[in-house]
Amino acid sequence: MESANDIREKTLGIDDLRPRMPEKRTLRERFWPRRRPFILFDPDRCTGCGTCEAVCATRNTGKISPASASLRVIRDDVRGRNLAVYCQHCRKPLCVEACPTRAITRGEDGIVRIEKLFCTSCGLCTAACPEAAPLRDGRTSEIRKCDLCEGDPLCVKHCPNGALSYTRGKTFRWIKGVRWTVQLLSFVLLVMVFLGTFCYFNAGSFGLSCPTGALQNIFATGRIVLASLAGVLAIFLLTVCFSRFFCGWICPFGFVLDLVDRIIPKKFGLPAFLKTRMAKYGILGGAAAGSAAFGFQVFCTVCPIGTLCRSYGQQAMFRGAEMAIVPLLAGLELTERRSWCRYFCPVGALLALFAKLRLLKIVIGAKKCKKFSCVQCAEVCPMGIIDADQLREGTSPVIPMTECIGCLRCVDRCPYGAAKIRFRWQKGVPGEVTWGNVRKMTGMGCRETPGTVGREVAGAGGREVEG
Amino acid sequence: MRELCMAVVHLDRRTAEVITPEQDLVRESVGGAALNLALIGRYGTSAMVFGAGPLTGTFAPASALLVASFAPGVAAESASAAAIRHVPLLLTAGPDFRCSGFDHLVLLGAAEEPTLIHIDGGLVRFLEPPKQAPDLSTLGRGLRRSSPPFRSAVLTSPAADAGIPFASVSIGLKGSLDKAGLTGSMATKNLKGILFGGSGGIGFANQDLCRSLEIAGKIRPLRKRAGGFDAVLKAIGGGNERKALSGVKIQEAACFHCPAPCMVHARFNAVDPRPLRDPKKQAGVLLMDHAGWVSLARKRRATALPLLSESIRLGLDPCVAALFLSPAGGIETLASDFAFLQELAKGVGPSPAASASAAAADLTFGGSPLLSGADEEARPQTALAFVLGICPIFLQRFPSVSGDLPAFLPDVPPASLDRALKSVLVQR
Repeated sequence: MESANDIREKTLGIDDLRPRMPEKRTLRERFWPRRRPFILFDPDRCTGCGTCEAVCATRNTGKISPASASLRVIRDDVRGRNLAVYCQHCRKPLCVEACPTRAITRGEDGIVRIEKLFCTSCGLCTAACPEAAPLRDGRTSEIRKCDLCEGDPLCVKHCPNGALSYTRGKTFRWIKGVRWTVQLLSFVLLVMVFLGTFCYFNAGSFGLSCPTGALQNIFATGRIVLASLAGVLAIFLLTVCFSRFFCGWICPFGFVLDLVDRIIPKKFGLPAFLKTRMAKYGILGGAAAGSAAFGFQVFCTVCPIGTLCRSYGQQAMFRGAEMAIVPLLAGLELTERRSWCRYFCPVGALLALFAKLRLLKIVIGAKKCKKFSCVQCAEVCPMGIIDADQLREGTSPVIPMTECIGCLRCVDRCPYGAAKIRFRWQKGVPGEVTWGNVRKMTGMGCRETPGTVGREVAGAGGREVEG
Repeated sequence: MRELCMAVVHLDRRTAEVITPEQDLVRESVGGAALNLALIGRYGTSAMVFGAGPLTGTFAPASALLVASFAPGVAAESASAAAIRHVPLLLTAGPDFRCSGFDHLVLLGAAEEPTLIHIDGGLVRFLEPPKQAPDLSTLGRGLRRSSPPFRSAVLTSPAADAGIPFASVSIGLKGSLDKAGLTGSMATKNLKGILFGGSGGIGFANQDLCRSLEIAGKIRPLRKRAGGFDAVLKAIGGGNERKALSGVKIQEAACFHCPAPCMVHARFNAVDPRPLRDPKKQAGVLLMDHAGWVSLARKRRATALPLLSESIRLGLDPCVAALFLSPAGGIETLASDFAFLQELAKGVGPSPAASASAAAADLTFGGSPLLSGADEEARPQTALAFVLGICPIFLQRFPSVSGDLPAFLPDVPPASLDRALKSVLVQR
């Protein structure tokens, strides 16, 4: 007699029918990610006419039945602003993970679809989705989800006010291209052309010098070298105008870290006691104190930026043991992105102090922001200063600009144009849509049991009215 | 001709029957206000009829209209008391009504106790309304908690319960264009409201979507000049009152499938109506009743928005509320103005005779100056809208669209439509 396990092994299971998609991204996807098509909603233009719901329902049911649409317009009676709930076709869809029958898949074209044959309408996908986008049909209780009409969305075509627009996803992010070019140029110039210019050990040969090196020199020698102040002043002005622009765009070690980040996976976590952003200020203070005590720039001997800047050329190329510091610190990328910059870099600490006088800030969470489902800005931020949890709660995160390296990855990546650069005195974000409000508006969490005495009197057999 | 579905509700017996009107009647009256008239003729002047037009909820532009027709009772006396009045119910009430499985709803008799009706899936349910609802927002909250799911609601205002003749019915919590005493008539039937579940669907022809796109394309270049909120304000002589909205955040709002939104939703500070920046103290109001807004803005430019919001909350007609407010006032008298409106809603205040004189002379099309005050040339457009189920304001602003509408109704003979229009226009 066959055991249950034998039968299970012989039976074709759901795993055989619908194998899971590979979770790891290929190298090609890392450098050239797949497009993510989605519908962009502009709440300023939406009048709440419901045309989108009507035309969507015609595709689903063949009738004008807003309750059966794959998107829902929620009308806010207080603010008058409307909110459209529909699938965002996330890169990592939580509904796919939540579906027990694996009826939801993300296709090669980036569209997340429900396979009706496998769907049991259990509703777990709705519970998992931060937007609650898989909607339950008001009549048949089926789960419906936007499939972008296979690349030609009807709702976009028929929206009378242009509140909906369709995008196949950005193919080229120009900020990213410019930044990589500037970083590469800076690396070549600072490391290979103007040899040792940035490092304070070579101060005097050229004006542009490291502010931390200059500070250490002051403490070590008790004298101010006027030639070095020009470089410090330049970096100071750059930081005041564009925050820690140097760290994100110019620093040669930052460029190395960005390259390493592309290659090695994140395998470990930093110990909690090391994960404090104040540590770099301590290192900066220690470097200054050490310089005063020993009479030379203590930190400069192990500075990864200086090491890189001094490492090229006939006399300086790869100075053996000194160069070991670069891969050692770059190894920190196994833990978190730009761990060195986040927690330890004293150059960044000094620039962070300068950045308190910054003129610009980055604001995330404009009306178009799909806070609950997207959080791409938080994912791409190398400094980890955008709080994804705050976004998921529906609030706009406050970005500590002293920690921001101004790489503009968030601005570049945001598909909704909701991450913006503003002057620091400009207004932040408009009134926020909170998750609590959405729950109230969608009726999620409300009991739907009729508390009143109801009596069904007469019926037409539930038939629909033909127009 | 298409087959209609109609419910005849006996409120006194708490029973309902679902019937299909005869084809002859439908062919003769087409639908909307004309069929409502025919049904009132059949069931007597005590009947109140809610009816959708044949285009309501379809892809015809601005197909949002649900018409409530009734013979005015004691509560709504005026010069034209004998005539049948048709009240336009806009936003999404019409489509949701049809998606609930009915084209017409005939209400007969009066309930012994306050009653709510919930319709969905071709079924009629009688519900008990939430108790202790002094205003519409409390009533709305209670309904959301205790009633079966619904998409739209037509609610009797608390002011009507107090026997105020100048009360207005409310679609959800957003007010309406009712100035003809519909809510008073509902209150005499002890009907607190009708909830539309709207879970069903409405059929359509394949070409309708293309026609809809064509019409929207035609309207697009005209809508700024002819169809927007400002254009409607100018049409009723309220162009100067537009300045009262300067500095206020507004958002355009539209009824179902309307390509030319004529309403705005204004946000204001709930404590102090001057535009302040604290979002926690924000309140909002939909400016659907243009005439009501203009009346209030003429009387109280600085505080018109909170007063309009309060009028809707209490179920008062904003035009009449503006008429009774004291001549002088502003931000400093806002609290006393609120108190005055609350007393007005309770029946303490000016006499019904004064309100009758204040009401518009012609209440055939709901009493709104935008529709009833229209010139004789515009009346056929309004009647056409009331018969077909199209927003009458839209058709008045874009009369050229009326030529495109018969294409959505291939099975309605032009002669029938003419007869239906005449019946609505002549009954005055």
